[in-house]
Amino acid sequence: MQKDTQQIIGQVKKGDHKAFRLLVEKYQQFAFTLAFRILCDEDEAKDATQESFIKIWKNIKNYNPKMKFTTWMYKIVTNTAIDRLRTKSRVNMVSLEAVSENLDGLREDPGKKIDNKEAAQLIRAIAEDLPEKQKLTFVLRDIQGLSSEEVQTILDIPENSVKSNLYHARKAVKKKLNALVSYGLTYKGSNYGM
Amino acid sequence: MECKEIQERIDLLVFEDNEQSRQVIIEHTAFCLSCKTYYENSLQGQNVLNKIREHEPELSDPVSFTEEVLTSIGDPSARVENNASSKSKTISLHSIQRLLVAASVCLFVIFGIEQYVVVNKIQKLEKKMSTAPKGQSLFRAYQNVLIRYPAQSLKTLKTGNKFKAWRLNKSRYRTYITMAGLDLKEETGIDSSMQNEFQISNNRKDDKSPLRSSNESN
Repeated sequence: MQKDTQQIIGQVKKGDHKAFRLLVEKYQQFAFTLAFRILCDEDEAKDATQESFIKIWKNIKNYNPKMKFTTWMYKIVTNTAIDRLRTKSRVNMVSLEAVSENLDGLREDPGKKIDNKEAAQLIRAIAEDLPEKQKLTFVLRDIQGLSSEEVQTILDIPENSVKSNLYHARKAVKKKLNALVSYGLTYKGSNYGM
Repeated sequence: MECKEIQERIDLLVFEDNEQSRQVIIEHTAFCLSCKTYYENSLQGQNVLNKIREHEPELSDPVSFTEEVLTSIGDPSARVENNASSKSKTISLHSIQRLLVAASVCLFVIFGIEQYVVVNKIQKLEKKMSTAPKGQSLFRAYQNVLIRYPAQSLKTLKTGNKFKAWRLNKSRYRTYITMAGLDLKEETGIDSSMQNEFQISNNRKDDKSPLRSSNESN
């Protein structure tokens, strides 16, 4: 797959639109997923993904084949999403009650899959008020499942900084998760059987 | 191992699953109720986190997304597809135009046939009226046609029959002429003085006419 991608990128560097079409088709879902997890908004994520691919097209000559393409792409997506996040007007905080209501469905059916709206609400509930770097480290490492090295490259920060940001982010997220579960137990009076 | 250390392991386990840590925690929670409660709550939090991880938001309509990106970077093939879509729009517009023309032709034919049938009926009726002696039944038949097709009837009436119609029911005839957008004098040759004359003569005759009384009752 990586070899195929490198061949495609080689053609894209020559200005081949058809090759770029293949690249977009192949990676748009990955890029969108990350943008969604950072922005917690479907439309914003779609716009950020589109903007990211335009940037990829314009800057493909700067891409170093030694780096994984997805890492380079995630870096562009993350930066584009951050820019949008900064300009975006502050959204009202998600209340524990609202999220807890969404979790009722999961409590009744542990196998149930959540939808985009529920996922966005949950991410916002646990990570919304984290500092920017902590939030990004948490999303990239603990939700997106990237390695520490990849997070370093994407955020352009040293290893210690990744560790420190992740430590503080996890501590805050754990608190939020506890509050979420406790709220469910206290006010709904039952266990989340997930 | 102290509870504080166990709880730290539990906190880490929420984010990173580690079999060795899990075993240590399970052994400890077997005899520590507070850590057991903490562990159970943390597992629920871990499940919430897992639900978020498992959820992959799907890009709605990836095909049009690709086209939008390619159009943005000025890909001619994306434009060709846009042209193709505009062509298909033009084709659909043409087909709508054709349908409209066909519908108009159909309506024209149907209307023409109906007109022919009506005019034919009126002409036949007029023929009968001109040959048959004056009678109540014929006048009534003519009256029915006049009521049903006022405009057509008036246009096909001959001057003599117009007088008959006038005599039959002045107010209704005037209404028909107005409805047909015709001029009374032009149509019947009756000017205001003649109208009065007819009115007087009709008033005299109408007392005897069975038609007059039947019209009034209607």
